Amino acid sequence: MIERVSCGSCHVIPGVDWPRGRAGPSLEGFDDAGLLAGALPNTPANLAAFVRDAPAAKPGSTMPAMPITAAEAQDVAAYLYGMKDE
Amino acid sequence: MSKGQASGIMEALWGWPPPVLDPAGPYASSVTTLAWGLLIMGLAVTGVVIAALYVAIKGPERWRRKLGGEKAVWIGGIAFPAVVLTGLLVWGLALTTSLTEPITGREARVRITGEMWWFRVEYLDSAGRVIVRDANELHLPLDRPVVLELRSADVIHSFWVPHLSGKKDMVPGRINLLRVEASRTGRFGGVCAEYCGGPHALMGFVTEVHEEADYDRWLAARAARQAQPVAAGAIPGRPGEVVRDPAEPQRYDPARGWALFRDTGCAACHRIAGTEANGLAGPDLTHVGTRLSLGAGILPNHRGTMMGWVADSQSIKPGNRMPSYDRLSAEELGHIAAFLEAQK
Ligand code: HEC
Ligand code: HEC
Ligand SMILES: [Cu+2]
Repeated sequence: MIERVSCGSCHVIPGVDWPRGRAGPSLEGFDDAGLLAGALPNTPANLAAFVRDAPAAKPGSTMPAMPITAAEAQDVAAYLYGMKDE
Repeated sequence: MSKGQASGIMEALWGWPPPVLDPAGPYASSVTTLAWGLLIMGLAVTGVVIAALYVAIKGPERWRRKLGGEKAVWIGGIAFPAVVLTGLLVWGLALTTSLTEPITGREARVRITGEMWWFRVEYLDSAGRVIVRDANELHLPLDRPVVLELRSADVIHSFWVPHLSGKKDMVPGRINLLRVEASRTGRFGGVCAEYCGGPHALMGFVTEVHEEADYDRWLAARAARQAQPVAAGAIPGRPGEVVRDPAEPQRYDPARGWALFRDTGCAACHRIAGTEANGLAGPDLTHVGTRLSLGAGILPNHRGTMMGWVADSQSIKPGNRMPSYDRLSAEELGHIAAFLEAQK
Protein backbone atom coordinates (compact mmCIF):
# COMPACT_ATOMS: atom_id res chain seq x y z
CA MET A 1 0.00 0.00 0.00
CA ILE A 2 2.67 2.43 1.04
CA GLU A 3 4.44 1.49 -2.17
CA ARG A 4 1.39 1.72 -4.38
CA VAL A 5 0.99 5.41 -3.65
CA SER A 6 4.71 5.93 -3.06
CA CYS A 7 4.69 7.78 0.23
CA GLY A 8 8.42 7.22 -0.24
CA SER A 9 8.58 10.00 -2.81
CA CYS A 10 8.27 12.42 0.12
CA HIS A 11 9.37 10.38 3.14
CA VAL A 12 12.24 8.20 4.24
CA ILE A 13 10.42 5.09 5.51
CA PRO A 14 12.16 2.08 7.09
CA GLY A 15 11.56 -0.98 4.90
CA VAL A 16 11.13 1.10 1.77
CA ASP A 17 14.46 1.34 -0.08
CA TRP A 18 13.27 3.46 -2.93
CA PRO A 19 12.31 6.14 -3.42
CA ARG A 20 13.57 7.98 -0.32
CA GLY A 21 12.35 11.52 -0.70
CA ARG A 22 12.89 14.34 1.75
CA ALA A 23 9.97 16.71 1.16
CA GLY A 24 8.36 15.39 4.34
CA PRO A 25 9.92 14.25 7.63
CA SER A 26 11.50 10.79 7.97
CA LEU A 27 9.01 8.34 9.42
CA GLU A 28 11.66 6.34 11.26
CA GLY A 29 10.96 5.89 14.97
CA PHE A 30 7.89 7.88 14.44
CA ASP A 31 5.55 5.93 16.75
CA ASP A 32 7.38 7.45 19.72
CA ALA A 33 6.64 10.94 18.54
CA GLY A 34 4.32 12.72 20.91
CA LEU A 35 2.37 14.86 18.53
CA LEU A 36 1.51 13.94 14.96
CA ALA A 37 2.88 16.57 12.58
CA GLY A 38 3.37 18.69 15.68
CA ALA A 39 -0.34 19.19 16.16
CA LEU A 40 -2.50 16.09 16.66
CA PRO A 41 -2.31 13.47 19.41
CA ASN A 42 -0.48 10.44 18.01
CA THR A 43 -3.34 7.92 17.98
CA PRO A 44 -4.21 5.33 15.31
CA ALA A 45 -7.43 7.13 14.37
CA ASN A 46 -5.72 10.48 13.98
CA LEU A 47 -2.89 8.90 12.04
CA ALA A 48 -5.28 7.18 9.64
CA ALA A 49 -7.18 10.40 9.06
CA PHE A 50 -3.95 12.32 8.61
CA VAL A 51 -2.35 10.07 6.00
CA ARG A 52 -5.54 10.12 3.97
CA ASP A 53 -6.32 13.80 4.03
CA ALA A 54 -3.69 15.75 5.93
CA PRO A 55 -4.95 19.26 5.18
CA ALA A 56 -8.37 18.36 6.59
CA ALA A 57 -6.98 16.69 9.71
CA LYS A 58 -4.48 19.45 10.40
CA PRO A 59 -5.29 22.74 8.72
CA GLY A 60 -2.22 24.25 7.11
CA SER A 61 -0.38 20.94 6.84
CA THR A 62 2.05 20.80 3.96
CA MET A 63 1.32 17.15 3.16
CA PRO A 64 -1.34 16.78 0.45
CA ALA A 65 -4.34 14.44 0.63
CA MET A 66 -3.57 10.97 -0.73
CA PRO A 67 -5.84 9.01 -3.09
CA ILE A 68 -6.51 6.15 -0.68
CA THR A 69 -9.63 4.82 1.01
CA ALA A 70 -10.31 4.99 4.73
CA ALA A 71 -9.62 1.25 5.08
CA GLU A 72 -6.31 1.60 3.25
CA ALA A 73 -5.40 4.52 5.49
CA GLN A 74 -5.90 2.26 8.52
CA ASP A 75 -3.56 -0.34 7.00
CA VAL A 76 -0.97 2.34 6.43
CA ALA A 77 -1.33 3.54 10.01
CA ALA A 78 -0.92 -0.03 11.22
CA TYR A 79 2.26 -0.41 9.21
CA LEU A 80 3.73 2.82 10.52
CA TYR A 81 3.06 1.75 14.13
CA GLY A 82 4.33 -1.78 13.50
CA MET A 83 7.74 -0.68 12.26
CA LYS A 84 10.58 -1.64 14.55
CA ASP A 85 12.80 1.19 15.61
CA GLU A 86 16.33 0.61 14.46
CA MET B 1 15.59 -0.24 -5.05
CA SER B 2 12.60 -1.99 -3.73
CA LYS B 3 10.02 -4.58 -4.28
CA GLY B 4 6.97 -3.73 -6.23
CA GLN B 5 8.13 -0.44 -7.72
CA ALA B 6 8.00 -0.41 -11.49
CA SER B 7 11.19 1.19 -12.77
CA GLY B 8 12.49 1.21 -16.31
CA ILE B 9 16.03 0.86 -15.04
CA MET B 10 15.24 -2.18 -12.89
CA GLU B 11 13.37 -3.79 -15.78
CA ALA B 12 16.37 -3.24 -18.05
CA LEU B 13 18.99 -4.67 -15.72
CA TRP B 14 17.30 -7.28 -13.55
CA GLY B 15 14.97 -10.20 -13.91
CA TRP B 16 15.17 -13.82 -14.85
CA PRO B 17 16.23 -14.75 -17.46
CA PRO B 18 18.62 -11.77 -17.51
CA PRO B 19 17.38 -9.26 -20.12
CA VAL B 20 20.53 -9.59 -22.27
CA LEU B 21 19.88 -13.33 -22.57
CA ASP B 22 16.16 -12.89 -23.22
CA PRO B 23 15.86 -11.32 -26.67
CA ALA B 24 12.48 -9.95 -27.77
CA GLY B 25 13.43 -9.20 -31.36
CA PRO B 26 15.70 -10.27 -34.24
CA TYR B 27 18.45 -7.70 -33.61
CA ALA B 28 18.71 -8.64 -29.98
CA SER B 29 18.78 -12.34 -30.91
CA SER B 30 22.04 -12.06 -32.82
CA VAL B 31 23.61 -10.24 -29.89
CA THR B 32 22.37 -12.94 -27.52
CA THR B 33 23.73 -15.73 -29.74
CA LEU B 34 27.10 -13.99 -29.79
CA ALA B 35 26.98 -13.55 -26.01
CA TRP B 36 26.40 -17.28 -25.53
CA GLY B 37 29.15 -18.12 -28.03
CA LEU B 38 31.66 -15.93 -26.20
CA LEU B 39 30.58 -17.26 -22.82
CA ILE B 40 31.07 -20.87 -23.91
CA MET B 41 34.43 -20.14 -25.55
CA GLY B 42 35.52 -18.28 -22.45
CA LEU B 43 34.59 -21.22 -20.24
CA ALA B 44 36.38 -23.69 -22.54
CA VAL B 45 39.59 -21.63 -22.53
CA THR B 46 39.43 -21.25 -18.76
CA GLY B 47 39.06 -25.02 -18.50
CA VAL B 48 42.14 -25.60 -20.67
CA VAL B 49 44.17 -23.10 -18.62
CA ILE B 50 43.17 -24.75 -15.35
CA ALA B 51 44.05 -28.17 -16.74
CA ALA B 52 47.44 -26.88 -17.90
CA LEU B 53 48.05 -25.37 -14.49
CA TYR B 54 47.25 -28.67 -12.84
CA VAL B 55 49.63 -30.50 -15.17
CA ALA B 56 52.34 -27.92 -14.54
CA ILE B 57 52.09 -28.39 -10.77
CA LYS B 58 51.15 -32.01 -10.27
CA GLY B 59 51.32 -33.72 -13.70
CA PRO B 60 53.76 -36.45 -14.74
CA GLU B 61 57.30 -35.35 -15.56
CA ARG B 62 56.97 -36.13 -19.27
CA TRP B 63 53.86 -33.92 -19.65
CA ARG B 64 55.41 -31.12 -17.69
CA ARG B 65 58.41 -31.08 -19.98
CA LYS B 66 56.13 -30.87 -23.01
CA LEU B 67 54.15 -28.04 -21.48
CA GLY B 68 57.28 -26.07 -20.71
CA GLY B 69 58.76 -26.58 -24.19
CA GLU B 70 58.99 -23.96 -26.88
CA LYS B 71 56.54 -25.84 -29.05
CA ALA B 72 53.78 -25.51 -26.47
CA VAL B 73 54.29 -21.75 -26.38
CA TRP B 74 54.08 -21.52 -30.17
CA ILE B 75 50.94 -23.59 -30.33
CA GLY B 76 49.13 -22.59 -27.16
CA GLY B 77 50.36 -19.03 -26.93
CA ILE B 78 50.29 -17.87 -30.55
CA ALA B 79 48.66 -20.22 -33.03
CA PHE B 80 45.62 -21.14 -30.91
CA PRO B 81 44.62 -17.60 -29.90
CA ALA B 82 45.24 -16.27 -33.40
CA VAL B 83 42.98 -18.89 -34.97
CA VAL B 84 40.27 -18.70 -32.30
CA LEU B 85 40.15 -14.92 -32.07
CA THR B 86 40.10 -14.47 -35.85
CA GLY B 87 37.32 -17.04 -36.07
CA LEU B 88 35.32 -15.28 -33.39
CA LEU B 89 35.81 -11.93 -35.09
CA VAL B 90 34.57 -13.24 -38.43
CA TRP B 91 31.64 -15.01 -36.80
CA GLY B 92 30.72 -11.98 -34.71
CA LEU B 93 30.83 -9.64 -37.69
CA ALA B 94 28.76 -12.03 -39.81
CA LEU B 95 26.21 -12.42 -37.03
CA THR B 96 25.81 -8.72 -36.45
CA THR B 97 25.71 -7.50 -40.06
CA SER B 98 21.93 -7.43 -39.69
CA LEU B 99 22.43 -4.64 -37.15
CA THR B 100 23.89 -2.38 -39.82
CA GLU B 101 21.58 -3.35 -42.69
CA PRO B 102 20.94 -0.33 -44.87
CA ILE B 103 17.84 1.69 -44.04
CA THR B 104 15.21 1.26 -46.75
CA GLY B 105 13.31 4.43 -45.93
CA ARG B 106 10.06 2.53 -45.40
CA GLU B 107 10.58 1.97 -41.69
CA ALA B 108 8.79 4.11 -39.11
CA ARG B 109 11.12 6.76 -37.70
CA VAL B 110 11.55 7.99 -34.16
CA ARG B 111 14.12 10.57 -33.09
CA ILE B 112 15.48 10.14 -29.58
CA THR B 113 17.71 12.78 -28.06
CA GLY B 114 19.74 12.16 -24.94
CA GLU B 115 19.48 15.06 -22.50
CA MET B 116 21.02 15.40 -19.06
CA TRP B 117 19.29 13.22 -17.60
CA TRP B 118 16.28 12.15 -19.59
CA PHE B 119 15.28 11.20 -23.14
CA ARG B 120 13.43 13.45 -25.59
CA VAL B 121 11.35 11.33 -27.98
CA GLU B 122 9.88 12.58 -31.27
CA TYR B 123 7.84 10.50 -33.72
CA LEU B 124 8.43 11.50 -37.35
CA ASP B 125 6.25 11.08 -40.43
CA SER B 126 7.67 9.80 -43.72
CA ALA B 127 8.76 13.30 -44.67
CA GLY B 128 10.71 13.67 -41.43
CA ARG B 129 8.32 16.12 -39.78
CA VAL B 130 7.70 15.73 -36.04
CA ILE B 131 4.14 14.56 -35.44
CA VAL B 132 4.28 13.62 -31.75
CA ARG B 133 6.57 14.97 -29.04
CA ASP B 134 7.00 12.83 -25.97
CA ALA B 135 9.65 11.83 -23.43
CA ASN B 136 11.13 8.95 -21.52
CA GLU B 137 9.25 6.21 -23.29
CA LEU B 138 9.23 4.56 -26.67
CA HIS B 139 6.22 2.83 -28.19
CA LEU B 140 6.82 0.27 -30.94
CA PRO B 141 4.62 -1.77 -33.28
CA LEU B 142 5.00 -5.57 -33.19
CA ASP B 143 7.08 -7.18 -35.96
CA ARG B 144 7.71 -3.94 -37.83
CA PRO B 145 11.21 -2.50 -38.05
CA VAL B 146 11.62 1.01 -36.67
CA VAL B 147 14.64 3.23 -37.24
CA LEU B 148 15.76 5.28 -34.27
CA GLU B 149 17.70 8.47 -34.96
CA LEU B 150 19.84 8.80 -31.88
CA ARG B 151 21.20 12.23 -31.02
CA SER B 152 22.48 14.09 -28.00
CA ALA B 153 21.81 17.61 -26.83
CA ASP B 154 24.81 17.84 -24.52
CA VAL B 155 27.26 15.05 -23.68
CA ILE B 156 27.66 11.48 -24.86
CA HIS B 157 24.84 9.20 -23.75
CA SER B 158 24.13 5.68 -24.86
CA PHE B 159 20.79 4.16 -25.72
CA TRP B 160 20.21 0.62 -24.55
CA VAL B 161 17.15 -1.62 -24.37
CA PRO B 162 18.76 -5.01 -23.64
CA HIS B 163 15.68 -6.95 -24.80
CA LEU B 164 15.73 -5.28 -28.21
CA SER B 165 19.24 -4.41 -29.33
CA GLY B 166 22.82 -3.70 -28.45
CA LYS B 167 23.92 -0.34 -27.09
CA LYS B 168 24.32 2.62 -29.41
CA ASP B 169 26.00 5.87 -28.42
CA MET B 170 24.23 9.21 -28.64
CA VAL B 171 26.94 11.64 -29.68
CA PRO B 172 26.58 15.44 -29.84
CA GLY B 173 26.54 16.69 -33.42
CA ARG B 174 25.91 13.26 -34.92
CA ILE B 175 22.89 11.19 -35.82
CA ASN B 176 23.42 7.50 -35.16
CA LEU B 177 20.84 5.20 -36.68
CA LEU B 178 19.70 2.11 -34.82
CA ARG B 179 17.18 -0.32 -36.20
CA VAL B 180 14.98 -2.08 -33.68
CA GLU B 181 12.24 -4.63 -34.10
CA ALA B 182 10.18 -6.40 -31.48
CA SER B 183 8.74 -9.86 -31.89
CA ARG B 184 6.83 -9.91 -28.61
CA THR B 185 4.46 -7.42 -27.03
CA GLY B 186 5.15 -6.14 -23.55
CA ARG B 187 7.18 -3.61 -21.62
CA PHE B 188 10.94 -3.53 -21.71
CA GLY B 189 13.10 -1.22 -19.67
CA GLY B 190 15.96 0.81 -21.06
CA VAL B 191 18.86 2.79 -19.62
CA CYS B 192 21.51 5.29 -20.54
CA ALA B 193 24.62 3.13 -20.78
CA GLU B 194 27.32 5.80 -20.96
CA TYR B 195 28.26 7.80 -17.88
CA CYS B 196 26.94 11.31 -18.49
CA GLY B 197 27.53 12.95 -15.12
CA GLY B 198 25.32 13.66 -12.11
CA PRO B 199 22.29 11.39 -11.79
CA HIS B 200 23.31 9.26 -14.82
CA ALA B 201 22.40 6.12 -12.88
CA LEU B 202 18.83 7.45 -12.66
CA MET B 203 18.43 8.01 -16.40
CA GLY B 204 16.21 5.35 -17.88
CA PHE B 205 13.10 4.90 -19.95
CA VAL B 206 10.38 2.40 -20.77
CA THR B 207 9.65 0.70 -24.08
CA GLU B 208 6.19 -0.65 -24.80
CA VAL B 209 5.46 -2.93 -27.76
CA HIS B 210 1.87 -2.94 -29.06
CA GLU B 211 0.00 -5.06 -31.60
CA GLU B 212 0.30 -3.33 -34.97
CA ALA B 213 -3.31 -2.09 -35.13
CA ASP B 214 -3.17 -0.83 -31.54
CA TYR B 215 0.04 1.01 -32.29
CA ASP B 216 -1.43 2.74 -35.34
CA ARG B 217 -4.47 3.81 -33.34
CA TRP B 218 -2.29 4.98 -30.47
CA LEU B 219 -0.06 7.07 -32.74
CA ALA B 220 -3.00 8.58 -34.65
CA ALA B 221 -4.71 9.62 -31.40
CA ARG B 222 -1.55 11.24 -30.07
CA ALA B 223 -0.82 13.01 -33.34
CA ALA B 224 -4.38 14.36 -33.36
CA ARG B 225 -4.03 15.68 -29.79
CA GLN B 226 -0.70 17.31 -30.61
CA ALA B 227 -2.05 19.08 -33.68
CA GLN B 228 -5.04 20.42 -31.79
CA PRO B 229 -5.01 24.01 -30.50
CA VAL B 230 -6.45 24.50 -27.01
CA ALA B 231 -9.02 27.31 -26.90
CA ALA B 232 -8.19 30.26 -24.68
CA GLY B 233 -9.70 29.70 -21.26
CA ALA B 234 -10.03 25.93 -21.80
CA ILE B 235 -8.07 23.42 -19.74
CA PRO B 236 -5.83 21.22 -21.91
CA GLY B 237 -6.10 17.45 -21.68
CA ARG B 238 -9.13 15.60 -20.36
CA PRO B 239 -9.83 17.18 -16.98
CA GLY B 240 -13.20 15.41 -16.85
CA GLU B 241 -11.40 12.08 -16.67
CA VAL B 242 -9.18 12.58 -13.66
CA VAL B 243 -9.67 9.30 -11.82
CA ARG B 244 -12.26 9.88 -9.15
CA ASP B 245 -12.28 7.10 -6.66
CA PRO B 246 -15.56 7.64 -4.77
CA ALA B 247 -13.69 6.99 -1.54
CA GLU B 248 -10.94 9.48 -2.29
CA PRO B 249 -10.93 12.95 -0.82
CA GLN B 250 -12.06 15.07 -3.76
CA ARG B 251 -10.45 18.33 -3.23
CA TYR B 252 -8.12 18.80 -6.18
CA ASP B 253 -9.13 20.63 -9.29
CA PRO B 254 -7.34 20.39 -12.69
CA ALA B 255 -8.47 23.92 -13.59
CA ARG B 256 -6.64 25.39 -10.60
CA GLY B 257 -3.71 23.12 -11.39
CA TRP B 258 -3.49 24.59 -14.90
CA ALA B 259 -3.48 28.14 -13.51
CA LEU B 260 -0.72 27.21 -11.05
CA PHE B 261 1.22 25.46 -13.80
CA ARG B 262 1.37 28.71 -15.74
CA ASP B 263 1.91 31.01 -12.78
CA THR B 264 4.62 28.93 -11.10
CA GLY B 265 6.81 28.91 -14.18
CA CYS B 266 6.50 25.26 -15.15
CA ALA B 267 5.51 26.39 -18.65
CA ALA B 268 8.95 27.93 -19.18
CA CYS B 269 10.53 24.48 -19.22
CA HIS B 270 7.67 22.20 -20.23
CA ARG B 271 5.48 22.06 -23.31
CA ILE B 272 1.81 21.15 -23.43
CA ALA B 273 0.71 21.00 -27.07
CA GLY B 274 -1.69 23.64 -28.27
CA THR B 275 -1.09 26.00 -25.34
CA GLU B 276 1.29 28.80 -24.47
CA ALA B 277 3.26 26.29 -22.41
CA ASN B 278 6.06 25.69 -24.90
CA GLY B 279 9.23 25.30 -22.85
CA LEU B 280 11.75 22.84 -24.23
CA ALA B 281 14.23 22.56 -21.37
CA GLY B 282 12.28 19.69 -19.78
CA PRO B 283 10.22 16.73 -20.99
CA ASP B 284 7.07 17.40 -23.03
CA LEU B 285 4.09 16.98 -20.68
CA THR B 286 1.30 16.76 -23.30
CA HIS B 287 0.82 13.09 -22.42
CA VAL B 288 2.29 12.97 -18.94
CA GLY B 289 -0.97 11.61 -17.51
CA THR B 290 -0.39 8.34 -19.35
CA ARG B 291 3.39 8.34 -18.93
CA LEU B 292 4.62 4.88 -17.95
CA SER B 293 7.13 6.33 -15.49
CA LEU B 294 8.20 9.61 -13.89
CA GLY B 295 11.67 11.08 -13.53
CA ALA B 296 13.00 9.24 -16.61
CA GLY B 297 12.12 5.63 -15.89
CA ILE B 298 12.68 5.72 -12.14
CA LEU B 299 9.24 6.10 -10.51
CA PRO B 300 5.80 4.67 -11.21
CA ASN B 301 3.34 7.37 -12.28
CA HIS B 302 0.49 8.17 -9.91
CA ARG B 303 -0.75 10.87 -7.57
CA GLY B 304 1.78 10.28 -4.82
CA THR B 305 4.86 10.18 -7.03
CA MET B 306 3.62 13.10 -9.11
CA MET B 307 3.23 15.31 -6.03
CA GLY B 308 6.46 14.04 -4.56
CA TRP B 309 8.39 14.70 -7.78
CA VAL B 310 7.11 18.25 -8.16
CA ALA B 311 7.57 19.01 -4.45
CA ASP B 312 11.13 17.78 -4.23
CA SER B 313 12.57 16.17 -7.33
CA GLN B 314 16.03 17.06 -6.02
CA SER B 315 15.80 14.60 -3.15
CA ILE B 316 14.52 11.83 -5.45
CA LYS B 317 16.97 12.47 -8.31
CA PRO B 318 19.74 14.64 -6.87
CA GLY B 319 21.24 17.10 -9.32
CA ASN B 320 18.53 16.84 -11.97
CA ARG B 321 17.70 20.02 -13.86
CA MET B 322 14.26 20.67 -12.44
CA PRO B 323 14.13 22.77 -9.26
CA SER B 324 12.28 21.44 -6.20
CA TYR B 325 9.03 23.26 -5.53
CA ASP B 326 9.00 22.94 -1.76
CA ARG B 327 7.33 26.31 -1.42
CA LEU B 328 4.11 25.00 -2.98
CA SER B 329 1.43 24.18 -0.40
CA ALA B 330 -0.17 20.76 -0.14
CA GLU B 331 -3.30 22.09 -1.84
CA GLU B 332 -1.31 23.54 -4.72
CA LEU B 333 0.63 20.32 -5.23
CA GLY B 334 -2.64 18.40 -5.30
CA HIS B 335 -4.17 20.70 -7.92
CA ILE B 336 -1.06 20.51 -10.10
CA ALA B 337 -0.98 16.71 -9.86
CA ALA B 338 -4.67 16.49 -10.75
CA PHE B 339 -4.02 18.72 -13.76
CA LEU B 340 -1.02 16.68 -14.92
CA GLU B 341 -3.00 13.44 -14.54
CA ALA B 342 -5.51 14.86 -17.05
CA GLN B 343 -2.83 15.29 -19.74
CA LYS B 344 -3.42 12.18 -21.85
C1 HEC C 1 3.77 15.31 -1.60
C2 HEC C 1 4.63 14.80 -0.58
C3 HEC C 1 4.05 13.79 0.43
C4 HEC C 1 3.50 12.56 0.16
C5 HEC C 1 3.26 11.90 -1.22
C6 HEC C 1 3.22 11.97 1.44
N1 HEC C 1 3.56 12.83 2.46
FE1 HEC C 1 3.39 12.49 4.48
N2 HEC C 1 4.08 14.35 4.87
C7 HEC C 1 4.47 15.27 3.91
C8 HEC C 1 4.81 16.52 4.58
C9 HEC C 1 5.30 17.78 3.87
C10 HEC C 1 4.60 16.30 5.97
C11 HEC C 1 4.78 17.30 7.12
C12 HEC C 1 3.34 17.79 7.33
C13 HEC C 1 3.09 18.66 8.53
O1 HEC C 1 3.97 18.76 9.36
O2 HEC C 1 1.96 19.18 8.58
C14 HEC C 1 4.15 14.93 6.12
C15 HEC C 1 3.84 14.34 7.35
C16 HEC C 1 3.48 12.99 7.50
C17 HEC C 1 3.27 12.33 8.77
C18 HEC C 1 3.45 12.95 10.11
C19 HEC C 1 4.89 12.79 10.50
C20 HEC C 1 5.26 13.31 11.88
O3 HEC C 1 6.42 13.09 12.23
O4 HEC C 1 4.39 13.85 12.58
C21 HEC C 1 2.93 11.03 8.49
C22 HEC C 1 2.63 9.94 9.47
C23 HEC C 1 2.90 10.90 7.05
N3 HEC C 1 3.25 12.09 6.47
C24 HEC C 1 2.59 9.71 6.38
C25 HEC C 1 2.48 9.62 5.01
C26 HEC C 1 1.98 8.43 4.33
C27 HEC C 1 1.58 7.14 5.00
C28 HEC C 1 1.98 8.71 3.00
C29 HEC C 1 1.50 7.80 1.83
C30 HEC C 1 0.08 7.49 1.91
C31 HEC C 1 2.48 10.07 2.82
N4 HEC C 1 2.78 10.59 4.08
C32 HEC C 1 2.65 10.70 1.59
C33 HEC C 1 4.56 15.08 2.54
C34 HEC C 1 4.07 13.96 1.87
C1 HEC D 1 14.15 24.92 -15.03
C2 HEC D 1 13.28 24.15 -15.87
C3 HEC D 1 12.08 23.45 -15.21
C4 HEC D 1 11.03 24.03 -14.51
C5 HEC D 1 10.82 25.48 -14.18
C6 HEC D 1 10.13 22.93 -14.21
N1 HEC D 1 10.63 21.75 -14.68
FE1 HEC D 1 9.71 19.94 -14.57
N2 HEC D 1 11.34 19.08 -15.40
C7 HEC D 1 12.47 19.74 -15.85
C8 HEC D 1 13.46 18.78 -16.28
C9 HEC D 1 14.84 19.10 -16.84
C10 HEC D 1 12.88 17.50 -16.07
C11 HEC D 1 13.55 16.15 -16.32
C12 HEC D 1 14.29 15.77 -15.08
C13 HEC D 1 14.99 14.45 -15.19
O1 HEC D 1 14.31 13.42 -15.27
O2 HEC D 1 16.23 14.44 -15.15
C14 HEC D 1 11.55 17.73 -15.53
C15 HEC D 1 10.64 16.70 -15.23
C16 HEC D 1 9.33 16.93 -14.85
C17 HEC D 1 8.33 15.88 -14.70
C18 HEC D 1 8.56 14.40 -14.96
C19 HEC D 1 8.35 14.11 -16.41
C20 HEC D 1 8.75 12.71 -16.79
O3 HEC D 1 8.33 12.25 -17.84
O4 HEC D 1 9.49 12.06 -16.06
C21 HEC D 1 7.18 16.49 -14.31
C22 HEC D 1 5.85 15.82 -14.03
C23 HEC D 1 7.46 17.91 -14.19
N3 HEC D 1 8.79 18.13 -14.54
C24 HEC D 1 6.54 18.86 -13.78
C25 HEC D 1 6.87 20.19 -13.52
C26 HEC D 1 5.97 21.13 -12.86
C27 HEC D 1 4.56 20.82 -12.40
C28 HEC D 1 6.65 22.31 -12.77
C29 HEC D 1 6.19 23.62 -12.12
C30 HEC D 1 5.79 23.50 -10.73
C31 HEC D 1 7.97 22.10 -13.39
N4 HEC D 1 8.06 20.82 -13.82
C32 HEC D 1 8.92 23.09 -13.53
C33 HEC D 1 12.65 21.10 -15.90
C34 HEC D 1 11.82 22.02 -15.29
CU1 LIG E 1 23.97 8.56 -18.88
